Amino acid sequence: MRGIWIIYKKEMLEFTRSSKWIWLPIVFTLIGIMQPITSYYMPQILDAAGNMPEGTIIKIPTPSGAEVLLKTLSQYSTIGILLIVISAMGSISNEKNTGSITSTMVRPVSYFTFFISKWFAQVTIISASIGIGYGLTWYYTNLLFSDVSFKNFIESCVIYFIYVLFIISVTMCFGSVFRKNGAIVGSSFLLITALAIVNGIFEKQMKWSPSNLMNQVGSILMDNKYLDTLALNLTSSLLMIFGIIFVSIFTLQKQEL
Amino acid sequence: MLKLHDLSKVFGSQTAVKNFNYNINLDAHEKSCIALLGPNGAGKTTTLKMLTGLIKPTSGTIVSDQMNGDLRNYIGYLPQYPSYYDWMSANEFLFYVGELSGLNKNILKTRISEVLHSVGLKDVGRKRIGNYSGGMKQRLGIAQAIIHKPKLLILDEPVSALDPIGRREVMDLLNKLKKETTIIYSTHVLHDAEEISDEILIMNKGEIIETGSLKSLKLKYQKPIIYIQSDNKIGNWINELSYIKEVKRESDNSVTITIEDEPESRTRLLEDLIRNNIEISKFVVGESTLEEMFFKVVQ
Ligand SMILES: Nc1ncnc2c1ncn2[C@@H]1O[C@H](COP(=O)(O)OP(=O)(O)O)[C@@H](O)[C@H]1O
Ligand SMILES: [Mg+2]
Repeated sequence: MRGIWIIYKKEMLEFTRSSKWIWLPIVFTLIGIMQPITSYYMPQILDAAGNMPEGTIIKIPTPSGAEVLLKTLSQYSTIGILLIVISAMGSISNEKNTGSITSTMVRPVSYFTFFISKWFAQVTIISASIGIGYGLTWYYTNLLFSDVSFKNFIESCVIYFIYVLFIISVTMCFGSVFRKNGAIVGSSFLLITALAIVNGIFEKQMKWSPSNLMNQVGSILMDNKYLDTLALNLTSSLLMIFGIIFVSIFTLQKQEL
Repeated sequence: MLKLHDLSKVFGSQTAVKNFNYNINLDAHEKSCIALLGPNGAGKTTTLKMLTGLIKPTSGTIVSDQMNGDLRNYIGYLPQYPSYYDWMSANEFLFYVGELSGLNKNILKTRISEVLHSVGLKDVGRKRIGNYSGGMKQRLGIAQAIIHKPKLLILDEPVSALDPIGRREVMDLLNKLKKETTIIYSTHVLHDAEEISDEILIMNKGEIIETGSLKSLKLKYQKPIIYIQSDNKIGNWINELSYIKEVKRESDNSVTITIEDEPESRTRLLEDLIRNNIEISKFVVGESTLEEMFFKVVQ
């Protein structure tokens, strides 16, 4: 326990030193609030573009607040995933590549401690960044569009958070297997995107998949209710996360420094 | 006592270390400084890593009667290619590893300044490690290895990558440290092994080929060598002489021989040469050394 806290603190200090605590929240915020703001000003933007024939009446249906928030989350599950993967990719592999991992592992520290403290650190900074970005987006959405209740906002946020845990775990698992960042990003992004695409095609058979959590989020925001497979979806996603963490630690233990 | 019993390590099809048997004395009053000497690829790093627990032996055991539980509590380790967090200061780094080794905050604060003082980095403790020179990094490496007062200090090629000044600094530091703790360090340079060690362990191709104190090894390999050149052919009778250890034929007319280290051997050789009608043109007496023995091993 003590070891986890010590390594966690070190990771946090590194995030501060490398300005990650600044750029990651900013990027998530920008991606988030772009949605309500561009949607709101869309008519003016088109107007200013000005190459419409005289007399054209631009009529764009005003989206609901829920629709705007959902669009943000769908951004978060495309560009957002890439950001998460980029943030977490080097966590394990960089230490293996430089050899700095030795200075930790030559102390009485287990690979479980080593991995899990880094995992928690990634979870902290990524979920804080997304929390800030998504929170501000919710604020602007309520300001400019119809209200989304606080309850729906929090619930969609929590479900999305489980999906984020899955992405972090997958990336760090590939980070334990591979050394090259290209290989880590490639395989993580490929796996997660493939899962999402398969999910889109075989929706019925994929109720258990972590990528199906995005459908749950949509249902909460748009219809104000969960899909009836929520329990299965959450349980299987959490089990998969535990499994991936287990595999990562096992892989690290097998490798020799 | 730390007993290394029949350690072997195989990587795929390559045997890096085999049948390594050695006991390291850890008694406070019998501290020793052991040099692990061998050419590149001899298996030094692999052996030391097995000692630290960073890699597991393919077979064999490491046991100790004085260390309970996690052996890593009792050892300090400086890797051959150390790497620290460049964005940390030396103070922060030592605090991090010290805490991992179980030291509490208050003890650590005094301990850090103590250790930085003894490795000569007292004034630069707040500087980022990324700005350190090679010699400074190596001294920081030693500082992190001794922060928790280990019973055994394991140093992998502590001076190999340093320039002469850095080498001098680190050697002096080790000389000081060997009074406080048992040290085992590896090197591929005989001179580095001779300078501070009490005990030398020579490794080649994964095996220990010689152990002993520096003095005993020197004595063992200090043998008179004689080079003889003659105007006529030197026959094979010379191989049969009882007091001769080794004959190396350079040509029909010249040989290099190693003889027993006794005063009369040389006289007997001269007598035998005359009896066999050898027309001596050169008779050069020299000595073989540990260096030559090691040189042979390296080749
Ligand atoms: N991780 C590894 N995988 C495969 N072979 C290795 C590995 N580590 C060392 N070796 C091999 O084992 C032998 C001993 O290496 P090493 O212990 O590093 O020697 P030294 O430190 O004496 O130079 C070498 O031939 C090296 O190529
Ligand atoms: Mg080596």
